[in-house]
Amino acid sequence: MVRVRITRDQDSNPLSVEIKGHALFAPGGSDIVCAAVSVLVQSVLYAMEDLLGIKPPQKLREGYFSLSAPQEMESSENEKFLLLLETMLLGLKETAKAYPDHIDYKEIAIT
Amino acid sequence: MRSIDLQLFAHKKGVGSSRNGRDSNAKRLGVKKYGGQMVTSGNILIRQRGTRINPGINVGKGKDDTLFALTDGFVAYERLGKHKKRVNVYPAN
Repeated sequence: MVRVRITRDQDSNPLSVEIKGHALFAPGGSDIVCAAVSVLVQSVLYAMEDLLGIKPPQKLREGYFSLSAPQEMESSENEKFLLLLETMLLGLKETAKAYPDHIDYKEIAIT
Repeated sequence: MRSIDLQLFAHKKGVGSSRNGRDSNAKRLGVKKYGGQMVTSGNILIRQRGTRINPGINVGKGKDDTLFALTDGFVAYERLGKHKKRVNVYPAN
Protein backbone atom coordinates (compact mmCIF):
# COMPACT_ATOMS: atom_id res chain seq x y z
CA MET A 1 0.00 0.00 0.00
CA VAL A 2 1.37 3.43 -1.01
CA ARG A 3 0.64 6.04 1.68
CA VAL A 4 0.27 9.65 0.47
CA ARG A 5 0.24 12.36 3.15
CA ILE A 6 -0.20 16.01 2.30
CA THR A 7 -0.13 18.84 4.83
CA ARG A 8 -1.88 22.11 4.03
CA ASP A 9 -1.84 25.50 5.80
CA GLN A 10 -4.89 27.44 6.88
CA ASP A 11 -5.20 28.87 3.35
CA SER A 12 -5.20 25.29 1.97
CA ASN A 13 -1.84 25.76 0.34
CA PRO A 14 0.18 22.53 0.31
CA LEU A 15 3.14 22.67 2.69
CA SER A 16 4.58 19.18 2.28
CA VAL A 17 3.99 15.95 0.45
CA GLU A 18 5.19 12.54 1.60
CA ILE A 19 4.67 9.29 -0.32
CA LYS A 20 5.99 5.98 0.93
CA GLY A 21 5.43 2.27 0.50
CA HIS A 22 4.85 -0.09 -2.36
CA ALA A 23 1.64 -0.38 -4.33
CA LEU A 24 1.80 -4.22 -4.34
CA PHE A 25 -0.72 -4.24 -7.18
CA ALA A 26 1.46 -6.60 -9.28
CA PRO A 27 5.02 -7.89 -9.34
CA GLY A 28 7.78 -5.33 -9.96
CA GLY A 29 7.91 -4.37 -13.63
CA SER A 30 4.18 -4.73 -14.20
CA ASP A 31 2.69 -2.76 -11.33
CA ILE A 32 0.51 -0.17 -13.12
CA VAL A 33 -0.53 1.57 -9.90
CA CYS A 34 3.09 2.06 -8.95
CA ALA A 35 3.78 3.28 -12.49
CA ALA A 36 1.00 5.88 -12.20
CA VAL A 37 2.36 7.22 -8.91
CA SER A 38 5.91 7.16 -10.20
CA VAL A 39 5.15 9.05 -13.39
CA LEU A 40 3.01 11.65 -11.63
CA VAL A 41 5.69 12.41 -9.07
CA GLN A 42 8.66 12.42 -11.40
CA SER A 43 6.95 14.33 -14.21
CA VAL A 44 5.99 17.17 -11.90
CA LEU A 45 9.43 17.20 -10.31
CA TYR A 46 11.11 17.44 -13.70
CA ALA A 47 8.63 20.16 -14.78
CA MET A 48 9.50 22.19 -11.67
CA GLU A 49 13.19 21.88 -12.42
CA ASP A 50 13.12 22.35 -16.20
CA LEU A 51 10.16 24.73 -16.66
CA LEU A 52 10.32 26.80 -13.48
CA GLY A 53 13.96 26.35 -12.59
CA ILE A 54 12.93 25.44 -9.06
CA LYS A 55 14.42 22.57 -7.11
CA PRO A 56 12.33 22.31 -3.92
CA PRO A 57 13.73 20.44 -0.89
CA GLN A 58 12.97 16.84 -1.74
CA LYS A 59 13.95 13.23 -1.21
CA LEU A 60 13.36 10.64 -3.90
CA ARG A 61 14.36 6.99 -3.64
CA GLU A 62 12.81 3.57 -4.16
CA GLY A 63 9.52 3.47 -2.31
CA TYR A 64 9.85 6.97 -0.85
CA PHE A 65 9.29 10.59 -1.91
CA SER A 66 9.00 13.76 0.12
CA LEU A 67 8.87 17.41 -0.87
CA SER A 68 8.40 20.68 1.00
CA ALA A 69 7.14 23.93 -0.50
CA PRO A 70 10.01 26.43 -0.77
CA GLN A 71 9.47 29.51 1.40
CA GLU A 72 10.99 32.44 -0.45
CA MET A 73 9.37 32.55 -3.90
CA GLU A 74 7.93 35.45 -5.86
CA SER A 75 4.16 35.36 -6.10
CA SER A 76 4.08 34.52 -9.82
CA GLU A 77 6.64 31.75 -9.37
CA ASN A 78 4.78 30.49 -6.30
CA GLU A 79 1.57 30.40 -8.31
CA LYS A 80 3.14 28.25 -11.02
CA PHE A 81 4.76 26.00 -8.41
CA LEU A 82 1.39 25.47 -6.69
CA LEU A 83 -0.27 24.79 -10.03
CA LEU A 84 2.24 22.02 -10.78
CA LEU A 85 2.08 20.58 -7.27
CA GLU A 86 -1.72 20.59 -7.22
CA THR A 87 -1.65 18.79 -10.57
CA MET A 88 0.42 16.02 -8.98
CA LEU A 89 -1.88 15.85 -5.95
CA LEU A 90 -5.01 15.78 -8.09
CA GLY A 91 -3.59 12.90 -10.10
CA LEU A 92 -2.67 11.02 -6.92
CA LYS A 93 -6.10 11.63 -5.39
CA GLU A 94 -7.95 10.35 -8.45
CA THR A 95 -5.65 7.34 -8.76
CA ALA A 96 -6.26 6.58 -5.09
CA LYS A 97 -10.03 6.68 -5.73
CA ALA A 98 -9.59 4.16 -8.51
CA TYR A 99 -7.27 1.88 -6.51
CA PRO A 100 -8.22 2.39 -2.84
CA ASP A 101 -6.62 -0.93 -1.84
CA HIS A 102 -3.26 0.18 -3.15
CA ILE A 103 -3.07 3.93 -2.44
CA ASP A 104 -4.03 5.57 0.87
CA TYR A 105 -4.42 9.32 0.21
CA LYS A 106 -4.84 11.67 3.16
CA GLU A 107 -4.67 15.47 3.55
CA ILE A 108 -3.82 16.98 6.92
CA ALA A 109 -4.76 20.59 7.68
CA ILE A 110 -2.18 22.44 9.79
CA THR A 111 -3.92 25.20 11.75
CA MET B 1 21.60 11.18 -17.00
CA ARG B 2 18.03 11.56 -15.73
CA SER B 3 15.43 8.92 -16.52
CA ILE B 4 11.97 8.20 -15.16
CA ASP B 5 11.63 5.04 -13.06
CA LEU B 6 8.11 3.77 -13.65
CA GLN B 7 8.43 1.22 -10.90
CA LEU B 8 9.67 3.54 -8.14
CA PHE B 9 6.86 2.45 -5.82
CA ALA B 10 6.76 -1.18 -6.91
CA HIS B 11 7.97 -3.99 -4.75
CA LYS B 12 11.16 -5.25 -6.36
CA LYS B 13 11.28 -8.98 -5.77
CA GLY B 14 14.32 -9.28 -3.60
CA VAL B 15 16.54 -12.19 -4.47
CA GLY B 16 16.36 -14.42 -1.45
CA SER B 17 19.44 -16.29 -0.32
CA SER B 18 19.49 -20.03 0.01
CA ARG B 19 21.27 -21.80 2.77
CA ASN B 20 21.94 -24.76 0.52
CA GLY B 21 24.44 -24.92 -2.29
CA ARG B 22 27.29 -26.75 -0.51
CA ASP B 23 28.67 -30.15 -1.49
CA SER B 24 31.87 -32.08 -0.98
CA ASN B 25 34.10 -33.15 -3.82
CA ALA B 26 33.15 -36.36 -5.63
CA LYS B 27 35.23 -39.32 -4.40
CA ARG B 28 35.00 -41.39 -7.63
CA LEU B 29 33.93 -44.52 -5.79
CA GLY B 30 32.80 -47.67 -7.50
CA VAL B 31 34.03 -50.75 -9.37
CA LYS B 32 37.26 -50.16 -11.28
CA LYS B 33 37.80 -53.65 -12.69
CA TYR B 34 34.92 -55.79 -13.86
CA GLY B 35 34.49 -59.54 -13.96
CA GLY B 36 36.69 -61.24 -16.56
CA GLN B 37 39.16 -58.37 -16.80
CA MET B 38 42.86 -59.17 -16.64
CA VAL B 39 44.63 -57.42 -13.75
CA THR B 40 48.13 -57.25 -12.41
CA SER B 41 49.21 -57.37 -8.79
CA GLY B 42 48.35 -54.11 -7.03
CA ASN B 43 45.58 -53.08 -9.41
CA ILE B 44 42.66 -51.45 -7.57
CA LEU B 45 39.49 -53.42 -8.13
CA ILE B 46 36.95 -51.42 -6.11
CA ARG B 47 36.78 -48.09 -4.29
CA GLN B 48 34.06 -48.26 -1.64
CA ARG B 49 32.89 -47.06 1.73
CA GLY B 50 32.51 -50.03 4.04
CA THR B 51 32.67 -53.55 2.57
CA ARG B 52 29.82 -53.49 0.08
CA ILE B 53 31.91 -56.15 -1.64
CA ASN B 54 34.23 -58.29 0.44
CA PRO B 55 37.80 -59.29 -0.46
CA GLY B 56 38.08 -62.87 -1.78
CA ILE B 57 40.94 -65.01 -3.09
CA ASN B 58 44.13 -63.08 -3.89
CA VAL B 59 42.43 -59.78 -2.99
CA GLY B 60 43.60 -57.40 -0.32
CA LYS B 61 41.70 -54.65 1.53
CA GLY B 62 43.12 -51.25 2.30
CA LYS B 63 42.31 -49.20 5.39
CA ASP B 64 39.67 -47.24 3.40
CA ASP B 65 38.10 -50.53 2.32
CA THR B 66 39.63 -50.32 -1.15
CA LEU B 67 40.02 -53.80 -2.67
CA PHE B 68 43.14 -54.55 -4.76
CA ALA B 69 44.66 -57.55 -6.53
CA LEU B 70 47.44 -59.45 -4.75
CA THR B 71 48.48 -61.31 -7.87
CA ASP B 72 48.20 -61.17 -11.69
CA GLY B 73 45.09 -62.85 -13.03
CA PHE B 74 41.43 -62.55 -13.94
CA VAL B 75 38.75 -60.79 -11.85
CA ALA B 76 35.69 -62.78 -10.78
CA TYR B 77 32.75 -61.61 -8.65
CA GLU B 78 30.59 -64.07 -6.76
CA ARG B 79 27.91 -64.17 -4.11
CA LEU B 80 28.93 -64.77 -0.51
CA GLY B 81 25.95 -66.25 1.24
CA LYS B 82 22.54 -64.69 0.77
CA HIS B 83 23.34 -61.00 1.08
CA LYS B 84 27.06 -60.56 0.47
CA LYS B 85 29.37 -60.48 -2.53
CA ARG B 86 33.06 -60.92 -2.89
CA VAL B 87 35.71 -60.47 -5.56
CA ASN B 88 38.47 -62.92 -6.37
CA VAL B 89 41.50 -62.85 -8.62
CA TYR B 90 42.36 -66.18 -10.24
CA PRO B 91 45.89 -66.56 -11.61
CA ALA B 92 46.02 -66.65 -15.41
CA ASN B 93 47.97 -69.97 -15.98
